[in-house]
Amino acid sequence: MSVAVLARGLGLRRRRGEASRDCSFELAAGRVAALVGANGAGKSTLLKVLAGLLRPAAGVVEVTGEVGFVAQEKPLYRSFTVAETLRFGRVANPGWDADRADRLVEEAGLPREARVTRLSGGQRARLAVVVALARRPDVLLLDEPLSEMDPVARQETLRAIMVAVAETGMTVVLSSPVMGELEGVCDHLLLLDDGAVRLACDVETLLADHRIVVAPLGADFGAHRVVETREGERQVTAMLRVTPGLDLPAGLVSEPSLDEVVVAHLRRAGVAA
Amino acid sequence: MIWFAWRQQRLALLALGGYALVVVAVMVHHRFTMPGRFGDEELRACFASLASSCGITEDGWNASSAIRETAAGLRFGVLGFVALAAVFAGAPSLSREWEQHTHLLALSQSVSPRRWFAAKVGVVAVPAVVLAALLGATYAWWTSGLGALIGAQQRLQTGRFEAQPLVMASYALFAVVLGVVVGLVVRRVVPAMAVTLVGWLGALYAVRWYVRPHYATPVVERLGNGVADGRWTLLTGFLDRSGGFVEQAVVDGPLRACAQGAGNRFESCLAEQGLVGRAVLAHPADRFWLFQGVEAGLFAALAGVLLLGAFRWLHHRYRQPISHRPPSRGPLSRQPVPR
Repeated sequence: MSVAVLARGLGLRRRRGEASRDCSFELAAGRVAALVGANGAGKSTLLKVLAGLLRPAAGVVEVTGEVGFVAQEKPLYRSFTVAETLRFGRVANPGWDADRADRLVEEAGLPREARVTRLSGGQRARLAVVVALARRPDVLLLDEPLSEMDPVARQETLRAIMVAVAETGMTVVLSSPVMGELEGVCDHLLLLDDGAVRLACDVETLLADHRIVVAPLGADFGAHRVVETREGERQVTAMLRVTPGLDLPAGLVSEPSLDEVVVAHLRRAGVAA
Repeated sequence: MIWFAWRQQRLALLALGGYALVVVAVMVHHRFTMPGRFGDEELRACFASLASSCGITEDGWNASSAIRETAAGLRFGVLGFVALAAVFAGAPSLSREWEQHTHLLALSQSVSPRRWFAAKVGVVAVPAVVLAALLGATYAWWTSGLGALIGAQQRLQTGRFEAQPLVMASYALFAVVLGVVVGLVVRRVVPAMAVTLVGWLGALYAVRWYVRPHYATPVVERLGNGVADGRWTLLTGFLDRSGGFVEQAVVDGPLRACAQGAGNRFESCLAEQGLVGRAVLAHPADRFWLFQGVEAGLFAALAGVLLLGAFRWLHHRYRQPISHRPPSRGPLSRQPVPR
């Protein structure tokens, strides 16, 4: 499988001090990756760098093919109507798919003659995603696309993205402050902390690798990597990254949800920082 | 892309067009009504030169003063168009994109940043240049119809020089491009407008005072009894015996001292200082087209430099990372290493 997005030794510009150079990952074509991280971890910066809108302080970025990008602000020309916004997409993109654009606008129930200023935040975000999808990019970068949408719009938008992925095999990177809504959609995870990628792997592998173990206080977890522990009065709950081939310590072992794994890693990053 | 650029700026452009048309209409109106304020004989005889010998009546004299004032006001309106175009169409063109973050939208489409920039500049610059040339041409046509009565011969002189079609076109090009480029640097609408206005006026006055006098070597002309023929006087002073020019300020003191002496006539005082008579350092009127050409070329070249710089910067800054390149393979996907 070919690589669609690659970052090597990427330094994301920080407000002060040295640029960290340890943002490296690669993403295979056709993947849908969730980009998660705390506020200020550099999610928006990374996406802008990938979109070619920001020069990295250091390192190399390679993105194969046409790149579509929806910035966090969901920028659109406010005085344009919905129809004019679509016309803008058509004149600015030779590969514009007018049928798809019309279908998506209709599905979203966006009134074609309404000015963008008149749309709600959620509607604006949907229109921005429509413009990005209709230009049929090879790599689609979405910065918190769902943040202002109601639950129904979130579902519909995610479905539209998944349909596009199925049809065209495009690669998608979605950033989100919370993992929950992306579970079941994303097959890849990029966990960003302080400008560095702490985790970059398959969701399936990630889930297979992690276990929650409840053991007596002072238990030894052996060679397994401890992501996070929470100590109670008598026992300790640990999120472990399991080292294959080793037995898990005796205790209550359960499989974590993706959300739990991500939160544990985010919290660990927060403690380290 | 032209539709898109037009759609963004149409209000400013329509307003500018309206302004230009109103100023043109006022000048056309004056062109047809003003000759009626002079007698046929006055028009014929005073067209070439406005001297008492042309037989102008007091009414005629008053009328010609009035229309010279009108012309001065309209020159302000004509030249003001350039500032308005730069401030209200040029400066917001890109600064508004950055202020409202829409550059993130525009620059992430397939169309290259340079085509986007070219459309944005073109849609403002082309109408501004055409309208500026139209305003300048209308001014020239209007004043040519009244000759000396409106001061048409003095078109090389500062103030009148700037309202002519050739320089107006290049002023508009430069000022609008300046506005767009300032917007690219300042990235906020109101500050960009202010910087553009200051920048344009600064450039115009710097050229007017410090550059334009040097387009050609000024000549020394002895002042006779004749009327000024439309030359552009840089300095007044005196002609010395060797044919050189002596600035007024240099000999002012001695001349004054001499003239206060009893029985001294001014001529003998001049002779005492080795001077032949009054003279000016000036550019003759026939250098008008040369000066128009040089000034227009200068501002067009400045606009070109700004455009080139902006193009190069955009290209360098907003290149897509690396597209359509066979991806290199390698074990780059790093697993986190807990410490």
